[in-house]
Amino acid sequence: MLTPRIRWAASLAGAAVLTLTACGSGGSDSASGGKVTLTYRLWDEQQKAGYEKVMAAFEKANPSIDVKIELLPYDQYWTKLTADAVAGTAPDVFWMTPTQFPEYVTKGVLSPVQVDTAKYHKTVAEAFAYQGKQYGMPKDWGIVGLLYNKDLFKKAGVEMPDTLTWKPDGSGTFLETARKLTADEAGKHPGDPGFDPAKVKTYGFLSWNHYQTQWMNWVSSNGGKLLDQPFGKYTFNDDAGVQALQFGVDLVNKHHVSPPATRTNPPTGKATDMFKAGEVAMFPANNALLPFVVPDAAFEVGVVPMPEGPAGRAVNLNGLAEAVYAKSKHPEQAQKLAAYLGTEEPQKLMADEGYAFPALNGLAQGYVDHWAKTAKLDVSAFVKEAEGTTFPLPVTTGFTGFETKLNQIFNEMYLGRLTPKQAADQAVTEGNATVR
Amino acid sequence: MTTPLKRMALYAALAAGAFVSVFPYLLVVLTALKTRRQLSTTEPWLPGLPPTTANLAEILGGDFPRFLANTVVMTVLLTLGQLVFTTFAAYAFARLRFRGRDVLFWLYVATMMVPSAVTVIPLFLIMRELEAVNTWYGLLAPYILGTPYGIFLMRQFFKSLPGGLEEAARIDGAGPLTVLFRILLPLCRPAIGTLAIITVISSWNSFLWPLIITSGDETKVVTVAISALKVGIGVDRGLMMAGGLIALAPMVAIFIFFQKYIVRSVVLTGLK
Repeated sequence: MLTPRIRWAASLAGAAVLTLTACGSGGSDSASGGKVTLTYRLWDEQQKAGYEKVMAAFEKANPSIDVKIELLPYDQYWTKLTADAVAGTAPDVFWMTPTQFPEYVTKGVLSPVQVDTAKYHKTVAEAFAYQGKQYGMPKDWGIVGLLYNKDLFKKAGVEMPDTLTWKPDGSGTFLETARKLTADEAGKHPGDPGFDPAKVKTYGFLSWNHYQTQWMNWVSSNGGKLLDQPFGKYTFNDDAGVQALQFGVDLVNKHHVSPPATRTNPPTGKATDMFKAGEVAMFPANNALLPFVVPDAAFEVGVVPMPEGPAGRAVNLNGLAEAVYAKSKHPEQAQKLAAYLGTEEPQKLMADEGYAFPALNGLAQGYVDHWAKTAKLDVSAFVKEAEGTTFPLPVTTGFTGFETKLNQIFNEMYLGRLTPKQAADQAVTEGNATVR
Repeated sequence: MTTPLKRMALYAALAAGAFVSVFPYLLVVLTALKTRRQLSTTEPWLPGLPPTTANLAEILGGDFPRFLANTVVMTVLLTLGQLVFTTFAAYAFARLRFRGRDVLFWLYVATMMVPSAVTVIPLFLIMRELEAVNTWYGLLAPYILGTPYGIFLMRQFFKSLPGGLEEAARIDGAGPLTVLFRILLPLCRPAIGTLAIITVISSWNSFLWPLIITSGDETKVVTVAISALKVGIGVDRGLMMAGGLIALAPMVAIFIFFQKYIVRSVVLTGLK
């Protein structure tokens, strides 16, 4: 039997629930007066300013559509997107990366998009293909290039060679240049009698456990392959792969042209900070890192293409895509937005304001001009690289979960506790167990 | 017996503890006042000279003030809700007699044992069923009706008040509400002050729930806004620390002015 007091409390609770429901239903997705509101989600605070202009132009051309931009912290972007996809509340259009793409496309979260792939950078377009269909409008790309500290080169009296080359045996102009730029407190270089690797003042290069800008590039430019095919198995433990990994580790532990792994291993390593502080002469980085390096550096930064390996130059090109949610309440309008984002007007705007290299071919010069104008920095090396051989990050299911384990294993390798062969075998076995 | 040596050791330990506690805040202040170039050329624990207010100006020039206002609104509403509902609930648990009172109370308090991270997903799904995702209702609903911690604190305080006061009021014809408002609440001022401060601080700092339940700018709070400054590839630390400094300032002020209430909450409940 209920006492009056409890009955009163129960009705109050009921009323509260009703109020919440009533207020909640006026949410963002509802169409009022024929007007549709789309949600567009991204993680980049800086690019948001550019997309506000892009969306204003889109809304002007499509008066019946409103676009709401949602900015999420990158660290939580994927957690939140997964939660939203499970709950059915994912945004209509959102940013997608090649490594996350397999998880979402195989679970039916993404909707196919009409794309004329010939118009976009091949590596970007291919990264978002699944079972013969395109599941994302190519948005932009970032590519790894070699940043270098011009002041350190000048001080050491070293010229940057026209082409940097490397070979697993240690020959080539790259290692030679790195040696000349590495100096201990007495001014001696690696190879000099009396050189003290424990007291190095400036390092020629930064070799560290960072797959995107480091060892994946060594592996590919040595003729190795990360995956046998998209959505396939890992293969970087073959001879070419292991040799390339050995080279990356040797730069640290054998040639001493790069700081010890104790200072650079992720997640606590300070590789970027070491370059910014002027301790390192050459530092491979994605062009997206430029806004976080160039204004911070108290020296002049230069950009050249990555070293060429035995199989030529092959660098990582990481493309993003505009994905359309398969369960969008307004599929027609969401497709319209995605199609618009692939056209010249928005892609040119984002390039010309220096946010990213656009995926649409023929617009890269805008990005180059922006950096020349605002920072007196010549970034044309990135464009040159993009015209050559490029490869995406591994596009296969499970990579995002495997990533942490991979970094742990390779941390041990860079520390010299595992040989590259052991580390690669272990990583490939662990990785292939996560592929579905 | 305290010898001078013992005293010195004590002060040394305290100074070391104080340094460890204060150092992170010092870093926030120093970093917020450095230019990006100074940040990469000076040691983290040394100030950049001359200090710059560019970071503060930049972050205040954007949407940040709006997120700050959202945080203020959230904090005020949650604190008011906590005070009102907790007082009623605690009074009922402490003074009213009904069947199952203690079982209900201990069950309720036992929910404190469940880490809040565990309840986030069920809560999210409940909010989704109520279509309250990405709304102010979703943001506030789970916490506005009071927390077990608050009820526990207030109940303990009510219990410590002599029952004779209440009986005297009853004899004079006062009902439960009159007793609560006219007799008990005025005596409870210290406990209410403590509860208010604790709630203000925890609401101001709350991150996980706002992050999960909201995604638009209308409901974005400072904690989430600050973490959004970290984009995929890099972070402008000066800007992030400027945001941190602005979010931190009111809390530090509250702590300095109301220290004794905060300490009292620990004494009252044995919880932190």
